[in-house]
Amino acid sequence: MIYLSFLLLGLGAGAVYAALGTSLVVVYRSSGVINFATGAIASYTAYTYATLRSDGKYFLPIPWLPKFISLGNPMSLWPAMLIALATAGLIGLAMYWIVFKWLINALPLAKIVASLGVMIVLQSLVGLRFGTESLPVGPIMPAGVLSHGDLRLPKDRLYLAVTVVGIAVLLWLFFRFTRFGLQTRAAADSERGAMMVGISPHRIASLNWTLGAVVTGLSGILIAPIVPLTPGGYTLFIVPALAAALVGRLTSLGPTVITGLLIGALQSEITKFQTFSWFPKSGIGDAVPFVLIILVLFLRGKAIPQRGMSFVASLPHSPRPRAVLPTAGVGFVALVIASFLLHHQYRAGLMTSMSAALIAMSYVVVVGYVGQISLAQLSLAGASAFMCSRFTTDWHVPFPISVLCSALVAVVVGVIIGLPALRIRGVNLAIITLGAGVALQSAWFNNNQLNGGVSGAKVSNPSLFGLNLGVGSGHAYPRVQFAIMLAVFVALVGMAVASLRRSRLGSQMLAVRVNDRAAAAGGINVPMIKLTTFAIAAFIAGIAGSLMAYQSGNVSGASFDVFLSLSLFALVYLSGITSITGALLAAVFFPGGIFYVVLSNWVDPGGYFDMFTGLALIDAAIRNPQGFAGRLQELGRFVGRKLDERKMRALPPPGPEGSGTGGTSPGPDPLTKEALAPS
Amino acid sequence: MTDIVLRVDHLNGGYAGHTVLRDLSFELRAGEILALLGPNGAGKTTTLMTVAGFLPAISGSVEMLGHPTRKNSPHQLARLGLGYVPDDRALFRSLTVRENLKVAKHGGGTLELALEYFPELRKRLDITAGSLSGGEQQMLVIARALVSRPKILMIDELSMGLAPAIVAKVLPVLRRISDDMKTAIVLVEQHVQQALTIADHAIVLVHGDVRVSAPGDVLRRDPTQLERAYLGQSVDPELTQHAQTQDTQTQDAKTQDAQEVPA
Repeated sequence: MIYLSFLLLGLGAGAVYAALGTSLVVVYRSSGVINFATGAIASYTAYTYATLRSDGKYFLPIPWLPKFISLGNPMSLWPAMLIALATAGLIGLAMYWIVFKWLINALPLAKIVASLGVMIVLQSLVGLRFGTESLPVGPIMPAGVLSHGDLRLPKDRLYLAVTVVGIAVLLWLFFRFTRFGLQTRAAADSERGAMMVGISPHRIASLNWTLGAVVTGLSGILIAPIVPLTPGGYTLFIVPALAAALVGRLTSLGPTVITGLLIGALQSEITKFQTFSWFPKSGIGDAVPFVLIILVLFLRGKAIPQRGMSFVASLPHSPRPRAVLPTAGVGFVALVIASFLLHHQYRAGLMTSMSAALIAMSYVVVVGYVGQISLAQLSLAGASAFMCSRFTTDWHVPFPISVLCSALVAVVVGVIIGLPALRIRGVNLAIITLGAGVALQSAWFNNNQLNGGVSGAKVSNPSLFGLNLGVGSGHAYPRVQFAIMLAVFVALVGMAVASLRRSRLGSQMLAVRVNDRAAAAGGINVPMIKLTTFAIAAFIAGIAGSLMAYQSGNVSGASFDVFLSLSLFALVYLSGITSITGALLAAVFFPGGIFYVVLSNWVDPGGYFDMFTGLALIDAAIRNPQGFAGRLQELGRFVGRKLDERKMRALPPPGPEGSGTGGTSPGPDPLTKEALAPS
Repeated sequence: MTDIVLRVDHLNGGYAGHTVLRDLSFELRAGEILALLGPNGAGKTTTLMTVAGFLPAISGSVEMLGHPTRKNSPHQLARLGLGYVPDDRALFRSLTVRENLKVAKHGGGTLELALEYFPELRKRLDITAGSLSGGEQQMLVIARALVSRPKILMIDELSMGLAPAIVAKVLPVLRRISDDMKTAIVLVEQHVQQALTIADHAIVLVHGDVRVSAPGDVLRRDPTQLERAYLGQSVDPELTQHAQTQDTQTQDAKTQDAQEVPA
């Protein structure tokens, strides 16, 4: 009976997952966006509600304006909820009109990146206003406990679950029986078809985005008395919500709601199991959504139906690197010179950027070359970093074998995470790998039994042939020797990734990226290529992770946080995920990297750095949905065309007979003309 | 007959700065059927996509029922009275046949109107569009475009993937629609001869240029001229006359080619 009680206790959290999942479905159907900011909207709305209730103040999001405007005395439940929900609706509407309207025909990846940008902005806004403290919120649902024999169930959980199920049923009826619902379903099937029959895609999207945000906001408000309200605390709800929505294939509300409730119940049940000595003390609950999505998607093997977009864009061209050795040589020398020239925090910033460059290159391999969206590369680095601590302190493995061993562990984990890629593509895979990252983070990096506990996961100093390569401490930090060692790794890995693109394997990877069925038809062993890719990318990320471990001396889970991972992914994507240039560019702008250090010394960005990163991501996603490097390529082609045209103009004007051979003039093909000339 | 519903004037169209269609001009009156012919890659689909507002025109203008359409998005043009049947059909596959028709209804249209022309769909009203046969799907897309009584109907590759028997059945229906409802129809078709049986006028595009523009019955009587146009050979100057008069501004080498007297 106690087990059943725990299951039912999870209905509260489950209801929130279900509500957020519902909102994800509503938004995805109307505009093809997987809104990663859903959890952040819940959090934002809950804060708005909480401050209205406690002080009667309305929370203003715009920096440099007053933080709050006072609306008089503390408000009662209904007006506060109404204002908060209206705010949520406005956020949803604004998200569509300011951001996603411009991305209608963009790659799904560009939409993901933009929604990550919105998530970062919303989260940092709340963080800037409320710091890290949690805000108490009074009960909304009736208190008390229902009991039947041994079975006990808090009433608020039950009412919350019933409310969410009720909302889902209402939404279902709305989409089933109203004209607007019919139009939304039509647009989800074929956006072009919808336009052809006179349906405005903006109207459909506007209302659905508003609706989705209101449902999200409501669940945020309702859960606030049950789960403590902290900035960023609700943002992670997105992972179980995504799992639920994925089971509903991002199109059906029923399975989404049921799965959401189920995940909550299972997680709660696991807290019961944690009382047993044999059961891991933390982390397993967060792994539930991940395991569940894998099971469901893998067993079902069906992908999310591709939403009927007007046009389908593709990843930008991946340029074939030329002069690999000289370029790597020059780059290495430049990094070494920079390491000597820069001091103190600048050198540390350079080091962080160099490690980030390695992880970014692992993204180039797995996403840029093979088109498999993995969001877990930083988490793989984390796995390697914690292993590096084990290898060096517990087993006394010397450098650089320690790096190699830890990277190999990352390979094992990476290949396991990559396994679903054999059956699942695109955005689904992105969600699975994100789930994997969260699972790693909570089951390993933040698990006191595995992460070194209070004393932390220490890493011994690296040295090679008696030469101290350590990063140093106190005044010696950061030593130039460590920076040079990082530069060696960056140059070597850069060369390897460039050569990979030029190799036969690289060509096969690109073939898989374009179309894996066509690649298979062309005789390429697609599963083998995919797993090899995940292995190579994990190895690179693993190297980065253990180097980061050596740099910090004491590995902390915070360095490999899932949200940091998402920011890095977004940065790499927008810098140009198909080329090494793009990876290096992303590394420069990585939080804590060289740009951050320079900026914070020049103007103090304070807490605003995150917000500006988010805004920059959104802006870049709208302007360059193909990534910055893609834009450069386009520019190159444009210049090339102009040069060609100039060359053509410089030539003597062609006679009427020669018009078919040159330039853009499409006169009759001389060959056909000759072949078909009447005899 | 001065009720011009669609006027395309010196239209250049294409993708991402690459011109695919050059200097197309034509006028279409209510109740008239225009066949847009030409080999693969001639620019027929580009023409329809540009007129329907899915592709921005590179230059030139389109006027629909007296309104310039440059600033209109596809759904606004649809509301203005344009029905468009694309080559990939763009059906709402998970919706039932009835829902497909219902969702397309705006203004004073009725489902009855569409079903009158395609009675085959009547028995299928409650099954999903995705499970219809290819021929039925094609009928449904046309029916969907008809529900709102369009003034102009553009059909891309009617015969694609369809049995010839079905094509032979649908084409006369189009003629009837055009006669009954005074709908102007632009028909893009690979089956040239069949299209010409119902077309009032035909334009042959080759490599994005207008090679032939002539009344349908003239081309029907003299199919060799069509063959020559398809093969890039010069055609009877009579048939290019219409194309020439529109072409007063540009004096390209290709027009000279078109006028060249057969060797």
